[in-house]
Amino acid sequence: MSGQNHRLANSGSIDRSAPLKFQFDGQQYEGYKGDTLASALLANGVHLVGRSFKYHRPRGIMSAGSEEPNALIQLGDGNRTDPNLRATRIELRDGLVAASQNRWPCLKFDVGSVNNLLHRFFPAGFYYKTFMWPASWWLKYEHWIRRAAGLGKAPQGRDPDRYEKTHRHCDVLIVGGGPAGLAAALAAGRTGARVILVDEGTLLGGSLWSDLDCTIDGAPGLDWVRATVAELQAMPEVTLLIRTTATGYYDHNYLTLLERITDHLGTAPDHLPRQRLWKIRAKRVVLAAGAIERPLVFANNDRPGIMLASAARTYMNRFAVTPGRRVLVLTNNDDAYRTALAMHAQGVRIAGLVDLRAQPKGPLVAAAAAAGIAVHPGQAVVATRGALRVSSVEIMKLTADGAGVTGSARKIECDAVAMSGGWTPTVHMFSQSGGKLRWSEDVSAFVPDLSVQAETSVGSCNGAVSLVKCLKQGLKAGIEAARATGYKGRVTAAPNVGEPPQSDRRDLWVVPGKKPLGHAGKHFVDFQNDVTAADVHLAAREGYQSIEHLKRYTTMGMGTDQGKTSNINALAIMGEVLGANVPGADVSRVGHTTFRPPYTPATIGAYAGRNIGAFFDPVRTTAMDFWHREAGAKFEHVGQWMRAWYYPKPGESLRQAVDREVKAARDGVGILDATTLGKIDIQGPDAAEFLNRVYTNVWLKLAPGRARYGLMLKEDGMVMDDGVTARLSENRFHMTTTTGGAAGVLDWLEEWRQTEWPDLKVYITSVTEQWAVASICGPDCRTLLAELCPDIDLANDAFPFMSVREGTVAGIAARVFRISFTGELSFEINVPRRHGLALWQAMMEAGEKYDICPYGTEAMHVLRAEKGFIIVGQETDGTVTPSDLCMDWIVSKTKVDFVGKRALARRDIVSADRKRLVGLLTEDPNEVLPEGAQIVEAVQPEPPMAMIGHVTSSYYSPSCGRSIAMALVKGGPTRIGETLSIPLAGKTIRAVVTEPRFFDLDGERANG
Amino acid sequence: MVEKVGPTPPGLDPTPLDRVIGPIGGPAEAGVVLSERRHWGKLVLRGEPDDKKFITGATKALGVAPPSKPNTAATIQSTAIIWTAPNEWLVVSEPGTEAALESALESALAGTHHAITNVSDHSTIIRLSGTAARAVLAKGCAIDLHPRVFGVGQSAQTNLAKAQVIFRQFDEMPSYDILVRASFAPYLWAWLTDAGLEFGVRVEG
Amino acid sequence: MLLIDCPWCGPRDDEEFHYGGEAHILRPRDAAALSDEAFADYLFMQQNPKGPHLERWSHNHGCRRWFNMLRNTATNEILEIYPMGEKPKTEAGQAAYAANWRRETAAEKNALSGEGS
Repeated sequence: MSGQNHRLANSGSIDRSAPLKFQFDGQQYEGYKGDTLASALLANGVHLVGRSFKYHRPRGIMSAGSEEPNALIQLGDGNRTDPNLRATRIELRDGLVAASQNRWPCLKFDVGSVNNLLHRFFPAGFYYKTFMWPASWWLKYEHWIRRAAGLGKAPQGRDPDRYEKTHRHCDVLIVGGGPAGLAAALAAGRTGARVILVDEGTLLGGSLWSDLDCTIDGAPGLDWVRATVAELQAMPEVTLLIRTTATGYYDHNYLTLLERITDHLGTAPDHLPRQRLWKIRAKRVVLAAGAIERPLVFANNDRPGIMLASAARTYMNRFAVTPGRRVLVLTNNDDAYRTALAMHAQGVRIAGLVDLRAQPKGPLVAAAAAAGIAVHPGQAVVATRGALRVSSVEIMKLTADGAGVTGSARKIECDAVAMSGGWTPTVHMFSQSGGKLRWSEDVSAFVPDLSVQAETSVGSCNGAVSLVKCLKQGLKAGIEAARATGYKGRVTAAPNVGEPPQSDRRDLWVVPGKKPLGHAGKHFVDFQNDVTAADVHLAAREGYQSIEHLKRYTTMGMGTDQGKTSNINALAIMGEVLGANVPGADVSRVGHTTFRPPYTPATIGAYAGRNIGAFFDPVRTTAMDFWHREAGAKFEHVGQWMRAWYYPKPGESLRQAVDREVKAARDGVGILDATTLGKIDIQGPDAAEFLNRVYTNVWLKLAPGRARYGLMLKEDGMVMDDGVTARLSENRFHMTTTTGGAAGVLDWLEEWRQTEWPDLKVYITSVTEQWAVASICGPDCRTLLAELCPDIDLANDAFPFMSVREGTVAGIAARVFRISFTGELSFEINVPRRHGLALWQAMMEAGEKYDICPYGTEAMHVLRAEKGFIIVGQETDGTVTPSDLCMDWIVSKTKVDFVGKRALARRDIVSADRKRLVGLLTEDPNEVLPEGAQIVEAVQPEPPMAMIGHVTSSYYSPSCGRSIAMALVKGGPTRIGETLSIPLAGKTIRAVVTEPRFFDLDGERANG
Repeated sequence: MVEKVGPTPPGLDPTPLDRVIGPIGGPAEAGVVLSERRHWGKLVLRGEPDDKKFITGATKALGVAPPSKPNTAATIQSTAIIWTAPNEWLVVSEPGTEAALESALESALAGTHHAITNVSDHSTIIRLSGTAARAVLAKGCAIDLHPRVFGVGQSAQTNLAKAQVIFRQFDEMPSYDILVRASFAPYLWAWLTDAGLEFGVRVEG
Repeated sequence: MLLIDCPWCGPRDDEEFHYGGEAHILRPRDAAALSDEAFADYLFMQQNPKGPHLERWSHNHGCRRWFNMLRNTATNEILEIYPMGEKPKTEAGQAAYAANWRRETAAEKNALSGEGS
C-alpha cells in the first residue's frame, strides 16, 4: 500500500492535522479525523470490502450513507463485536479494527464464490424449491444453509456495554438535519418552541457538504449551515442530536431515536452509556429525511469501484477522496454531471460521461461539454470488466425505445464508475406514521400523500429536487408547526439560492445488455441480497407478482438495508413486466412493501436499556425478609414477591425440611410470614352491601369483630379470587386477597363501584403493604400469643374462630385475626410494616420454649392440602366454578344477585359432565403424583387416550403418612371409590378417588 | 439486587431501605442527591369534592383546602396534601403526626361520607434532588417534566421505571419527593442510583 | 404507543391504562328472566369493528378512574373521551352507538326495564 494515494491535496472537511491509524482485515492504514471508515479506505485506494450474501461476489463501497448495501463490516472483537455495520457510517478513530464479512479464507480468495459459478442452480426461490423434500431432512438442510448464508458474526457472550433509555417531549421534532431540516428548526426555534432536531450523521447540513456548487445569499452553502447551527445552538429550548437515528414512528407522534454516544470514541468513559434510546412524544413532527440515489440496473453493475454518483461527489467534496483516477459517469439525469464537473475541477480524469438520454440539454450538460468531458448521449453501459475492481466498461448505442442496444460495443478503460438513476425520497418515517403514499411521475418514486398524524414532510423526502424548494418547505413547515403548538413568530424569509438548474430524466429500469436478460452478466437490483432483474422476471412468471410476494420469493429488500437502494427499481421492473402482460398495470399499481421500524439496524441492547439483571423485574420483599435470609431460607417467586419457601437445617432435603415444618405446625407451633396477601380497606355506609354483591355468600349480617371466608367470581361464574374479610366496625371492612390477585381484585372492585354501582357509598383503598403479617398456628400458639398479648382475651368464647380483635402484641399495636389456613388453631397478627421484623423476632424469642418452627410456603401448601383447602390459581384456572370445587355451600341461594350469579345457571355450568374436585390416593402411598398430570379411565397402549381430568395439587403428607393429591375429574364426587390411571413417561400410576380432604375431617383442631 | 446490609440507626424503626442504602456520602458536585424520608405520616383521605361539609371540615383539620386541581399538591408548613383522584388525597405529614391528624380529620368530618386510611407504612419516600434530577426521572417516567409543564407544586401518579409512584416537585432545583410502595422501594432506589450514574450520585442521611 | 388524555390527569402513555372492552353494555336487571342465549349476548358478545369503537378505559396506574373513549380501531385516532354513565356527544360517537347490534336486544331491554326475553 502506498498510503492515502487517493486523497486530494486540499478541500474537504477532514482534519489533516489529526492522522488516525486503523486496521482492516489485518492490514494497517491511515486516515484523518472526520473520515468514515469508507472514506478512509477509499483514500487508500481500497474498494473491495466484502463478498455478497448469496453469490459471494466481490463488492465495493456503493454509497456514502445509511443506504449502503455492500460495505458491511464486522467491528471490534470479543463480546464488543458488532456485525453488519455500514463502513459509510463508521466514524474513523485511532486504533479502529475492522474486518470484512462473508468470505473464507480471505476477501480476495473466497471459497464461497463457487456459488457464483453455480448460479444457474440458485434461482430465486431456490430454498423453497429445493429443500422442501423430504420434510424430515429440513433440520439437516437448515444447518447447512445457515452455515453458508449469513453475514457477520454475533458475539457469543454478554454485552459488556451499558445502554440507556430516556423519555422526552417536545413541540416540534425534526427528523433530518439537511437544508430542509435546518430551515425548519430555525423557523420553529425562533418562536421559542421546544424543538428537537435529529440527524444520523456527524455533521448538520446534509447535502450542502457535498454540493459545493450551491450558494445561499451569495455565500457558500456551508456558511449558511454554520450560521444556522450556531443560532440553533444558542437557543435554550432547541436540542440538536447528531449521531442519532430516528428509528421508528408509532401512534400519536411517538418516535424512537437511537443515539450513539460513545461508539466514535476509542475508549468510552465508564459513566456514559454506549447508546441511548430516546422515546419522544412530539406535538408536531417535521420529516426532512432526504432522498437516496438509485443505482442503475445494468449488466454486472456490482463490481467494486462502481458507486452512486452522489456518493462519489460526497467523497470528493467532503472527504477529499477521489474514488478513482479514471472515472466513468453513467446517468439518466443531470445530477451526475455535478459529480463529473466536481471531479474534473479537482483534476480527476473523467473517462466518459454516458447518458441514457438521447438528447441531454441544459446548463450542466453545456458545462460538461465546455470542460471537455466526453459525453456519450443515448448510450448505455452493456458490460463491465475487472475481477476485484472495475477496470473497463463497454458502451453501446441505445435503440430509440431504450429496450435494446444497437451498433458495436466500445470499450472504455476506467477504475471507477459513478452512476445515477434518479432519487428516491426517504419516506420510511412517513409511511411508518401511517401516512399514505402516492406515485409521483416527477421523481418516479413514491412520495407522501395523506398524513394521518400531526406531521409534515419537507424537502427531498417530499419529492423536492432543488435546494431552494427544500429551504422554503422547511421554513414554512417549521413556523407552521410552532404556531400549531401555540407559539407566535414571524415567518423567516427564504434566502436567495444559487444552484444549477436540472431538467429531465430517462427511466430505463433495466439498462439493456448485449444479450437477453440473464444471459450476459447479472443486472443487480438488490445488491445486498443478490437479487437480479432476471429474478424479478422469474418471480413474475411464476406468479409471485404481488409486491409482498415478490419480496418474500426473491428476498428483495429483506437485507439489513431493507432495500433502500433497490425497492423502487424492483417495483418498477415488476411494473414493466406486468405492464407487458396485464393491460393498465404500472408501477403505481404494483404498490410498495410495508416500511417497518427500525429505519436502520439497531442494537438489541438499546431496546433493552437498563431493564436487565436486577432491573428486569422488581423483586418485592417483606419486612421480615432479612430474618428469613439469615435463617438460611430457600425462596420462591410468587409473582414479584420473594417468599420463604422452606428453612432447611444443615443436610436437610426439601422433603425432610417440609415434613419437619408441617409436623411442628400440627404438634407445637409454627410461624409463617403471611405479609404478601393482598389487603384492602373498605369503608362507607354501603360497604356491607358492596361485599354482598361481589362475593357469592351473604355479608349484610356479619357482626363487627367477625370475619368470613369469601369467594369472588367473574361475571361468567368462574372463581377469580378468595380470602377472608373481617368487619372492623359497622362501616369498615378489612379484606384479604390472594398474593397474586391483590392488584387485580382492587381494580375489579373499583370497576364495579365506578361503572355499575356509582350510587354505593363506599371507598376502597389498598393497604397491602401497610401491614406485616405473622401467622402462627398449632396447639401451643394460643399460649405463646397470650405471653405477648396481654390485652386480648384469647379464650375460645371471647375470641372465637373467624373473628378479629385489636390489641398489642409484643408491645406493638396489632390487628389479630383468628382464622386458619392450616386447619390448626391459628392467629394472624398484623402490625404496621415498620414493626414486622420486631414482631417476628419477639415471637421467635418467646416461642423458643415451645420449639417454635418457622415454616415456608411449601409447608403451608401441604398443611392446607391436607385439609382440602383450595388455592386460587392452583385448583382453579379461570374455568372452574364454585360447584366444580364442591363448594356449593358458599353460594347464596337467597341473594337476588351477585357478580356471576346468572352465569352459574347456564346449561354448560350445571352440566353433570363437568370436571369437579376430588382427592386422589395413590395405590403406592409413597408415590407423589406430578401436578398437572392427566388422568384417564383406561390406559391405551399409546396416545391418544380420553383424558378425564388432571392433578391440581400433590404432596407427600407427613400428617397422613402418605401422598395426597387433589384433582379435577369429570364426574367428580360420583367417582369416589373408583380407581383411575395417571399414565406418565415410562410408567402408569393408579389412584383411588376420595373426598378432597385428608386430615382432621371433623375440623376440630381449629378450636385448639 | 445486591443488598448492602446496614442496620437501622439506633432508636429508629426500620424502613424498607435500611439494608439497601449504601454508605452516606458522595461527590459534592453530584448532579443527583438521594435520601430517604423516614416514616413520614401518610393518610389517604376520601370524600366528595362537591360535598361542602366535607371540604370545609377537611380544610379546618388540615389548615388548607385539599386541592381540587388534578396533579397538584397543597402544602402547609411541612405537610403536603396531594391530589390523587377526584375524591382522594394523600396527606403527607411529619413523622409521628399522622395519628393526631387522623383524629382531627375524623372529628372535623363527623357526619360526612368520608374515609381516612393510615397508610404510613404502605410506602416510603425517596427524595430526589439536584441539577440532574429531572433527567434522572425522565429515564423512567413518560410524562412531560419540562418546567413549562411540570413545576413546583405539581404532582403526578404514574410509572417510574417498573414501579408505580406518586411524586411531587417542591423546589426549583428541581427536587422531588417520590412515594413508592415499600416492597418496590429497594428496586426503585437501586434504579435511581443506576440512572444517576452519569451525573454523579450523593446519598444523604 | 397511544397517548390517552385522561379526563383527570391529562395525556399519559397507554401503559398506564387498562382497557375495559366495549362500552355501553348494560348489565341485565333481572338476569334470571333471560334465556341463556340472551344472557350470552350480554356476557360474551362484543363488537369488533374496523373503525370507530366505543370502549371503556381505566387510568389504573394513575387516578384509577374509568371513562369512555371513542377510538378508531384502524388508525388508533381517539375521537372522543366522555364520562362513565354518559352517551357520546360527537357525531361519530352517536353513529357508533346507534349502529351497535346490541341496541334493542333482549339483554339490553332487560337492563333498561327488567323484562325477560
